[in-house]
Amino acid sequence: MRRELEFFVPAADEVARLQRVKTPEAEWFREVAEEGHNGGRGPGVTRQGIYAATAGGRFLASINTRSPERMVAMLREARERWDELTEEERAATREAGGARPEDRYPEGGLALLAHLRDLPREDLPDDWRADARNLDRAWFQREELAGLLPPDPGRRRSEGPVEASLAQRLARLHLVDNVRGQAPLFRPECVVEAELSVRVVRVKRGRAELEYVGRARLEERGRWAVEHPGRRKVEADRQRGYAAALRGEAVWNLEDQRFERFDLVAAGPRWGATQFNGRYDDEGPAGMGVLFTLAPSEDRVAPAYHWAYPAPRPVPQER
Amino acid sequence: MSSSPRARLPRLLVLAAGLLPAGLQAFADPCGPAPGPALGQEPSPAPALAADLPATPGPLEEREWSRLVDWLTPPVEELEWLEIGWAPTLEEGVRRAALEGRPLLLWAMNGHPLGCT
Repeated sequence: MRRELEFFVPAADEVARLQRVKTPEAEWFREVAEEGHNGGRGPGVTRQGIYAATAGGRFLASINTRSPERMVAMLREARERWDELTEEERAATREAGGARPEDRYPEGGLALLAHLRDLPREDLPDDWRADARNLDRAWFQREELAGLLPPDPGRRRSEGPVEASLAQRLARLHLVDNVRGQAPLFRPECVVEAELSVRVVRVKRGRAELEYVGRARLEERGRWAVEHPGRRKVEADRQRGYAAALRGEAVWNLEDQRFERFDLVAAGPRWGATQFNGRYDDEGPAGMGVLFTLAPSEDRVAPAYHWAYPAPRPVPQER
Repeated sequence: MSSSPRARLPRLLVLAAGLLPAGLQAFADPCGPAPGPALGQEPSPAPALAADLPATPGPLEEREWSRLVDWLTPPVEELEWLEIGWAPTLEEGVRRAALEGRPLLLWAMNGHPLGCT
């Protein structure tokens, strides 16, 4: 498989946005996808899958499968079609730009990976769900960093609350049960509590060692449907939530004004199921954990709920 | 090569007793919540709403926190698929494909395939 893959430039992207927005990039995708495995099925049908195409947007092959054998067959088919193209057809290019969520990457701010996983328990099913994990990102812009710091980061024992709006955002958008699939974010009214405080434990060689402590509780009641394999979808009165203790350690470089380390854990019971989060037979309560840690600098994938992040704050004018 | 998730379970369960904060121990109880009905059965059309929701756990102690960090950090082999060198956006993939004169292979999913799917 890896040998077959090396012939191609691999790329990954979120399909719902590409099916919806009006940018040259999304139009490039929609035209290619229309010739693929789900083409012609109307705009409401997902175009999830794997597509091979030229940079100019000429469709080569597509598939939506987890089978390695079928995947290899698709790659070979795409390569055969590529080989049949003229040099001119292969070299053709087409505009595929436009605004993207990654445009708001927090340069000079804090970009975190969020690792989600169930806490250990015995009654997990005997399949992939036994060790399911998911990965998200959490972003804080440069101008938001002060809200994550104590009043005087250079002074030992300085302490204070993390800015409420940041703690709330962390809870609403990132303490969501996405271990097995995606659930909707929590609306602001679902936040029962979201508190995080920070204090300076030690100051050494221009670096402040910080400790974070807090708790969060999210609760939602409503009426929604849950997808269940092999069964009809049933809309019903439901509830979901997450109640977590939070604790973290971080290192703040006082001169460079940046985090050199950031490890924050949320752990506690989650409950309920949503349409696509795979909890149809596992509504809990059961333990779930989230670990936030620094993202590598080259990682630019946007948070899953990037659209719910606030608009950038105006940068103060220098006098 | 890593062991299968199921093969790792007994070890994880041994860890569980010491891994969870006191407020979470109930959720690792082997006699905890029963699994849902088997495939092929109709689900209850209206799941019972729990009257008593779980309490918010108390503070995490340092030792518990360290164990949770280990538990939640993915092992290196879980992240090998990221070594493929994916362009993280269609736009970037098209740009690279044009520059390198190669075809593009796009993995498009609900939820970013390199992130939360």
